[in-house]
Amino acid sequence: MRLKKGDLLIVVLLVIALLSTFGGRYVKEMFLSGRMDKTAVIKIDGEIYATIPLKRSNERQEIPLSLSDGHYIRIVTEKDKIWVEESSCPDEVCVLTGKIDAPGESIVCLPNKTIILIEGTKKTDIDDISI
Amino acid sequence: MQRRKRSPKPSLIILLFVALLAGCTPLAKDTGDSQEYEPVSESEFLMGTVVKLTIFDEAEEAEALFRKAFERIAEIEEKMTINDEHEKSEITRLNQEAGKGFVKLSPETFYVLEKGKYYSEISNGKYDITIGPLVKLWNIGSDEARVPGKTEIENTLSLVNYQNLLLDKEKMSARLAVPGMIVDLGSIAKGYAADETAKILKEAGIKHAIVNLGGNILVLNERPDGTPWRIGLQDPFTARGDYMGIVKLEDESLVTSGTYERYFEDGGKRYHHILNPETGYPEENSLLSVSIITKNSIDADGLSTATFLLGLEKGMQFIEGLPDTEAIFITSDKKVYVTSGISKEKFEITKEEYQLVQSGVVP
Repeated sequence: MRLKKGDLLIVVLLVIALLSTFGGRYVKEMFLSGRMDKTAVIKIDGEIYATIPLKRSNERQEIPLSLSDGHYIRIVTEKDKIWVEESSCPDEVCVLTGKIDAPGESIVCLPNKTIILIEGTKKTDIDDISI
Repeated sequence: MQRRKRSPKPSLIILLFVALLAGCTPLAKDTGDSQEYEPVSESEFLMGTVVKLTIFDEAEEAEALFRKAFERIAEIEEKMTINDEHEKSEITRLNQEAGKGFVKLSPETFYVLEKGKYYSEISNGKYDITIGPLVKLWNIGSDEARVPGKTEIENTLSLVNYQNLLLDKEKMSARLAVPGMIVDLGSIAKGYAADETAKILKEAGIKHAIVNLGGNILVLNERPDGTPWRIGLQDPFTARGDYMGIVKLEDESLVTSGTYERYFEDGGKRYHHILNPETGYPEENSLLSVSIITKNSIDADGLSTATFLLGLEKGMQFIEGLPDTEAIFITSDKKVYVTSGISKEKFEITKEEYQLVQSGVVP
């Protein structure tokens, strides 16, 4: 069986239609997805202290911060994860939070007024969390 | 002959596919693209916690709006705090005048105080808005947290009694009858601040937003795509940010009181921040957390503490007796109890080890 000219045209149209719908979304997701561009933002008392792109190729990086009144917090990032290794706060909620790597996740140290949050395209199942 | 018969087939099939695709495309666009909204978010340290505001509408003046909301929250904090150097706190003034005369308050401070007294009354003092002296004694959440001596606790308990908080609505003033009494709005003021923040956002025309005051959630309407917001419920056993279930909310507030929120350890024992005004010690019952869903956040905030202190059985009855109020209880053996108004669609458990016990039934 042979395809007629009309059939060929329809096939071409079909391919274009497919590409522009599914293909387009796939390409878009590739570029926009959280895995591609994640940034950790460290904020101290409302001010941005540092922004760190989180990539799988990142080597271990230690960020020791001396805060007011002898307080301190030591943040570590390796590959695409970031966490608080050590903190002078009494309850260590920040340390216990563990490693985070997904956009929308955050670590908060209230006594040290430090927030670490990951920005990027949101790809989680929830919009926020009740604590 | 055979060729002729077959030749229309491919084009027919292809045409069918194209027709199908054409039909599918708008649908895929509707569900796909609307979820790719780009929310704008801003956080600040206020009221002793992190306040996070997220707007999902296209708002050109989002920055100005965030600032306005944060300023409003700061204003509420200034009026109602008891941890202050701020001389402006009306509640500090009320506490300083304990045992003396009435103190004039602003309408909003009076409103929050009145709500606090109301929840103290309807929980028969299991929750007490005059818990301040005990809170100061334990100091949980600060560097100076410690287990007080027995006598210290006994002496302090006599100062805790909401009935000695007298309110005069006409004169918009309040009085603490006994010297040394301390009102503490810590269990309710964040709820009020969330409601006021929502008001500011609504007045600015915002339709889809999340107000998060240290884990107290208030949502404006539904998601931009029309589906309910999905809010995770903190797993009491694991790290902050890890959830055990998802609650769907629409124009509601969800506030959780849990033992894991603030605590300190001493001699291998954990002391959490929800103090029982009758014993003077952190409340020890089967519960690890109580989450309340109401329209206004001030109610969810006050009720979450009150219900926690009432315990599972009485707390369940208490909430079932209140209109438009629902609750989710998590016990230390990982059982989950919900009030009768919480459907399977409203709340789903996402971690297998948690077991849902039939709605509204307590053994």
